[in-house]
Amino acid sequence: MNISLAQVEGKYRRFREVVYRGTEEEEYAAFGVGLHSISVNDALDADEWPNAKSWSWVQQLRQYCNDPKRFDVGLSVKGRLCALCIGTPSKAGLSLKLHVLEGKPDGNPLKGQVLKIILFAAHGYAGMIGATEVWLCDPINDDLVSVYERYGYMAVRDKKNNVTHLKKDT
Amino acid sequence: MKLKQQDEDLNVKWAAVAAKNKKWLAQVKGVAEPPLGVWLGPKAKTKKAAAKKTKAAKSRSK
Repeated sequence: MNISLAQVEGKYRRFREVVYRGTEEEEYAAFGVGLHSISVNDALDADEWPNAKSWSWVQQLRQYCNDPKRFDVGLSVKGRLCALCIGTPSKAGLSLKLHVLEGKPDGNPLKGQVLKIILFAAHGYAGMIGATEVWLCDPINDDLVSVYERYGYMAVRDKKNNVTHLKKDT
Repeated sequence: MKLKQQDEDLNVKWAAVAAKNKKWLAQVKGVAEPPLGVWLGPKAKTKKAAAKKTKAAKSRSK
């Protein structure tokens, strides 16, 4: 049976919706956090955040938005954007790879909770699509690697001992 | 009717997944979050790619 792109898009959109609503209600209702897909406006907003990154969210969104199986999530509180994350499943669908992740540096009402909320949602999405691992690709520095390790992730290193990604079973 | 059944199935699946994740989150409750900002991104790749481009441009100009 052939499945059209629209059907695939619809199927994974429903997975994402279940994950968004579930995450809002399960653990983080007290924070009044809203989870949603990343819009162009969100990407433009995040590109205005002060930091030293050398890439743009608009560019990242353009790169991944055509993948119907993508995991993209924006965290907002009272309509104010607090964090963004984009990931994609591997071709075989066995792992969910998170490629970009950023929390708004200043005046963030979710300070101290952003990573937990996003990882909860990401692991939820991975479980929904049948992926057995979540990968954190391209950590920005080694300090972050040790933080991720404390969350139970295992660092994978290349021959030069550089961390290529971290992984954890779902 | 079919869609309703599918939604119910998804919710059941989510409940199982969320229960598992809650256990894990409870274990890492005390772990502090890193300072807000960029945590994952193609920065390293971009830098490498930029260095490659510069090198290629230099060799072309010779």
